[in-house]
Formats: sequence, structure tokens, C-alpha cells
Amino acid sequence: MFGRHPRRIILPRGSGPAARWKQRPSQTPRRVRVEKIVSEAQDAITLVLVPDDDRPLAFRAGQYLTHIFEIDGRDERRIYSLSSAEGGALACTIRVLPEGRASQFIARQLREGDVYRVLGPGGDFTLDPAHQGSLVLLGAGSGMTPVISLVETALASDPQRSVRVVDVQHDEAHALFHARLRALAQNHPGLSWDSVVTAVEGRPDAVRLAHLLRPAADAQVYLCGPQALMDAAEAGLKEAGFDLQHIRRERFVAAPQHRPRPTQPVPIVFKRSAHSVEQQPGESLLDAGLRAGLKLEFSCTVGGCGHCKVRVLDGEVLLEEPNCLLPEERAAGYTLACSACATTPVTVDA
Amino acid sequence: MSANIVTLPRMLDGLPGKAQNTIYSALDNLRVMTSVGNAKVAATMAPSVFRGLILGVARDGDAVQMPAQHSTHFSLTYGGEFPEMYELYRRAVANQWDGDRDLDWSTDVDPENPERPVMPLDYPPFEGLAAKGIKLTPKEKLRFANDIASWTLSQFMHGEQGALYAAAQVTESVQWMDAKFYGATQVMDEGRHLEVFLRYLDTKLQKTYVCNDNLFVILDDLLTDSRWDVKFLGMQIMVEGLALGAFGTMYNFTREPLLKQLLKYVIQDEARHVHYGVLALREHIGKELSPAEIREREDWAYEVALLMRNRFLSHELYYEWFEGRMSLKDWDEVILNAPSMAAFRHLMFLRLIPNLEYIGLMSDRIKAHYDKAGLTSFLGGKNATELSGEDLIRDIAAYKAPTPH
Repeated sequence: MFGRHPRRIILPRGSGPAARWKQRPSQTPRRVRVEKIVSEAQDAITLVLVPDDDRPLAFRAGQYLTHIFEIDGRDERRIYSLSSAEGGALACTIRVLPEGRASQFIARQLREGDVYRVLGPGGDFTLDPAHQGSLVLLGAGSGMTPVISLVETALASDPQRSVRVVDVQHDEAHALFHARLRALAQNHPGLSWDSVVTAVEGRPDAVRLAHLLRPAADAQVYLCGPQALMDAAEAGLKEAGFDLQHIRRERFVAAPQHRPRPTQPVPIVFKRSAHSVEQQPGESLLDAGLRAGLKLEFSCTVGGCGHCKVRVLDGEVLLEEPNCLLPEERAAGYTLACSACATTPVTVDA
Repeated sequence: MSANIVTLPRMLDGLPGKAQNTIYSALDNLRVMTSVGNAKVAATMAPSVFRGLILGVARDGDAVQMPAQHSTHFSLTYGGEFPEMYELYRRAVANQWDGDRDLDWSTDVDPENPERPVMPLDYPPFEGLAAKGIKLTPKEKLRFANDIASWTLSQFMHGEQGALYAAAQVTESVQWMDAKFYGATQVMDEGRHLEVFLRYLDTKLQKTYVCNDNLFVILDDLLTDSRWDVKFLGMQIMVEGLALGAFGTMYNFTREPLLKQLLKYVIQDEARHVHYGVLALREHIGKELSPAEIREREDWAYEVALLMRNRFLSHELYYEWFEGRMSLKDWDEVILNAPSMAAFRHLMFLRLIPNLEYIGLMSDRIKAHYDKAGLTSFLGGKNATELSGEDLIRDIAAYKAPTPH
């Protein structure tokens, strides 16, 4: 009749949250509707999107979506960064390239009201909520896309924050988001902004970049642009004594060129998962592993982010180019599971 | 004179606090068992009351075995059309959401952020506690409010686990093919609700309370009852009604965006679940049950309604925070009179009473009991067939909880 007491009140916990929550988001695409197409600058377009199912698609400032367009009967995937502030409309800004298969499709054929699929958001080029110091951001070309999202988000949360932006563009006609930066600067005395026009001044070298950026010791630095420019900025900051641990970079790579893939099934052994999977024609290592239910890391699925990097222990793979894999990673036997397929039986360390 | 009359407070006088609480608890449990007027109802509930309140099986071990007594209704001819239910099934299929994809799990939930509190400081009954001599420091108040949030969400999660199994059982037992289609979607819904509450507790609040004894009694009773319509009544009308009251209260109070969005999705699903329950039960009660069977179900619903109204008193929080500082009886009084509890009761009965009326479990006989309990003001309200998920959210948001005084 008497309830047992003292009683258990709290459920015991392990060393942290369950491992199941750490899985990457599913590879299921969402359908989005093009609500508006905005001409942003010469050869640059912003697509304002809304999820077709009217459910929110939450994102962090600085993240990207992987866009899947069906062009001539084939899926073309491209990563385009979000250019809106966190909590705002879903907007991605795209540089239209003369030979760009997807960007030409967007510029010429995509219309307001059209529906297509996206994956994500993905990417960790985001604000660190624990960091309250100053921000220094370098955006070159379309690298300004995540930068404007980061700047607007940071200032919305702390209007007095010290934020420095260095914008590198070929010329004024191609410059992105200058009107938005000007509007921000009017209301936020902590925002300073320098623009470099390479058509006039040439490409800035390491010393010049370090001078333009000049981060305080407590600053977090964000770099987004061509690899060579980011390398130069990093070298200049290192020379100036800045701690490289406080630098975040967003890798940018051009779209991969599709190459013929095996037409027969090829066996893959995922050694750490102790699983053997038959890669079907057209599949990547990642596709085959996910189909078998393996918990593999991935994000952009087009060779641009490096999340799906795996080491090939045995066998041959074909990797689509270009991609974001660094020369030293290639030398160490790594490939990108999303963009590689096995051409002979392979064993991977995953 | 009263010198020879030994009342409970006098009997407890002079005993140590722990002993007072133990006797109060035991007598209170006994009161639950003896307060049930219908002997048949009391007999069916007794094993669950014994397991939940007396043995306290939910407070120990890793799992509890609940032997199910129902039959699976396997259709051989695939008859039993119910077009309204098929319509509900199609709506459920079209409105599935994804707990991983559609909620922003990267949201930084800081329970101590005064701008986006999970449980604002106007929710806990601080004034009632102060009247009993309990004064908390500002830091303790914040921590206590967070513990209330964890306790409440823990009970939501335990309830969803029960709902998952009950939904699976009623899908087996129900005779209409269209109800089986629909039931399958509800199993998915409940699985997803369990997933999102578990994930929120595990990754954001990082504190989970045990299943409350009284909640356990209701779930145990439902899951072990052999009659499909009692499972339906219990799960789809009573527990879903309780859930709407509780989720709605939390939805109105919380300022934490991830939890608010999560609750919004869950409440919209619950609207369908109750709709399904009333469709099935109105048909069954009106056409299949004898007057005696209807009377028993009326009594059962009434007892469960009172159990839900009077007994979710978060004793786990009392034992964690105030044992030795105030009596369990005083704690019950504080909680029962708390404005947040009034909000919960209002939102629960706002939906529950019209649904009981619609399915035919509100005879004049039982109405008199509800009247005595002060619940007939909700009669004539909109039932689940007249309300969409959006209507529910709108009504919940429009309800203003009484302010503390």
C-alpha cells in the first residue's frame, strides 16, 4: 500500500546525447518554388525561393543549398550560397558564367513560379554563437554571397558589433550587395567596409590583404573566394602574427565535369562499417553506402565541401573533377565519396 | 466537541515530514481507488492503479511489460468502407512532416536566456510557494522554471510512447478498412512525436524525468484493456484531449522558437487524431453498444477526466526540490491552484467535453456529475469534426491564461 520511497526522479543519462542525432540530414530533396528572380548585378541573379510544401526551411547565415535542376533530362547539381540574413527569405545568389550549364539554364529558362529540388542547407561557414568579438570578412566575386548573409545576421543580433568587410570585385558593374552594405553602414557605426576593384588596382597580394583585413586579436576571420586569394590572405595574416585558428574558409570549386561511369555493378567493402555493397551503374560510393543504410558523412553531394572525404584502402576509383580535395589529401589516398565511383572492386575506410 | 474526532491533519501532526508524506500518499492513492463510483470501472482500473500507484513500477528498471488482451481484426473481404475516414487518411498522408528536416535543430537553446526562455518565469507558481513559506532566489527560480519545462516535456514524451503503442493496437483491432489505413498514419505520427520530444530533451534540455505514476496508470490501463473501443476512447479522446490541453499551455507560454514550432506541428497532428477518434466512436457507440455498455464507458471517461484534472501534480519536482521544506499536501494545493494549471484545465476540457457530447457519452445522468465538477460550461462547444489543426492553434493562441494574483 505504501509507495516506494525514496524514488527515482531523473532518468540516468549517458555521456551525452544519443549518437543517432549526429547523423547528417537525410538526402531527401525538398521542392522549392521560385517566387522572384532579381537581377543583382551584371551577370548575377538572386533567386528568392519558397518551400513548395509551405513548411519552413531553416538555415544558418553562411550556409548553402545544393540545387538540383533537370536540364535536358539529366540532373545537374550546383551549390549556391544563401545571400539572405538568418530568419529571412530563402534567397540564393548565382553568378552566371558564359559556359555554365546550370547558370545559363537559370538565366535563360528558369521562370518565377517554376518548381525544382534542393538539398540542405549545408556548410559550416557560419557564425560561432560563443564568439562575441569582432568579425572580419573577405568576400571575392560571388564569395560575397555568404559574407552579406553573415554580416546582416551578426548586426541584426548585435547592432553595435565591430564588423569589417573587404570586398574584392573585378569592376563596379559586377560588384555584389553594395547597396545593402551602404544601408548597413548608415545604421551601424561598428561596420567598416573597403572595396577593391581588380580591373583598376590589380589583384591584392598577401601584404595588401593583411593590411586591408587587419583583424584585432579577438577577431574571427571569414574568407570566401578563389583559392589563390584565400591562400594569399592567410599567408599575409600569418606573417602579421594573427592566429590562423581563428580563420574560417569556404572552399569554392567550379561544377564537376561528368565522366562516364561503370556500366556494371562493382563491389565495395566499407571496412569500418563491416559492410559489402554492390555499387550499381550510375551510383557514387556515397549513393551505394547510403542505399545500404550506412551512416556516412556528407553535405553538398557535388564535391564542393569535403564532408564525405574517405580513404581508399584498395582498388581504383574515378573521381569527378574539379573538386575541393587538396593535393595532400589526394596523396594520402583520400577521395570524395559523393563524386567518386569504383571502377574496380574497392575497399574504403568508412 | 471534536476531541474524539481524529482528522487526517491531526493524525499527521507530530509525525516526521517523511512519514506524513508517506501516509498522505497512501491515503490519497486509496482515495483514487475508492472514488470510482462504478464497480465495473473500478475493477478494470484496479490492476493499473496497483501497478502504477502502489508498486510504482514506472520508477524502477529499464522497461515494463504490459500484456495486451485485444484481438487483431484481420479482414478477409476488405469491406467496411468509411469514406470520411478515408478522407482523413488522405489528409494525413499529404501532411506528413519530417522531425529532422522541418525543425531547426541547430537552434541554440539556452534555457537561461531571458529573451527566449523555454519556460518563462510567469509559469511556475512562485506566489503559491511563497505563501507556504518557500522563497527562492532569482537563480533558483530560473533553475526551477527549467526543471518544470523538463518535467512537462518528459511527460509529453512518455505519453507519446504510450500513444504510439495504443495507435498500433487500435489499428489492429478496428474493423473498418479505412480506419486501418488511417491508423497506420497515426502510428507514424506518434513515432515522430516521440522522436522529436526525445531529441529535444536529449540534446537541448539534457534532463529527463521519470514517467509520472498517474500518467502511467492511464497508459497501462489503456494498453492492457481488451476492448478496442475503450482503447479508442482512452487514447483518441481522453489522452489526446489531455495532450491538447498540455501542449497548448506550453505552446502559449514558451518563447523558445524551436519548441514552439515543434509543438505547433504536433498540435496540428493531434487535431486529426481526435477527429478520427470521434468518427469511429460515434458510429460504434450509437449503433453497437447496449445502454449498460454506454453507461460503463460514460463512467470510465468521467473517472479518467477527473484523474487527468486532479492528479498531474508533478510530485517528481516536489521530491527533487521541496521534500523536507514543505508537506506533499501543501505542494498539491499550490499546484492545483496555480494559474498555469487553470490554463491547462481550460484548454483540455474546452475540447474534451464537446467531443464526449458528440460521440454520445454525455447523458443527463453523467452530465449531473460533470456539472458538480464545474465542467458543463464547455458543453455545446465545437467538436473535433468541426475543427482543423489551424483552428486549434488559433484558439490556443487566443486563450489568455489568468494572471497570478
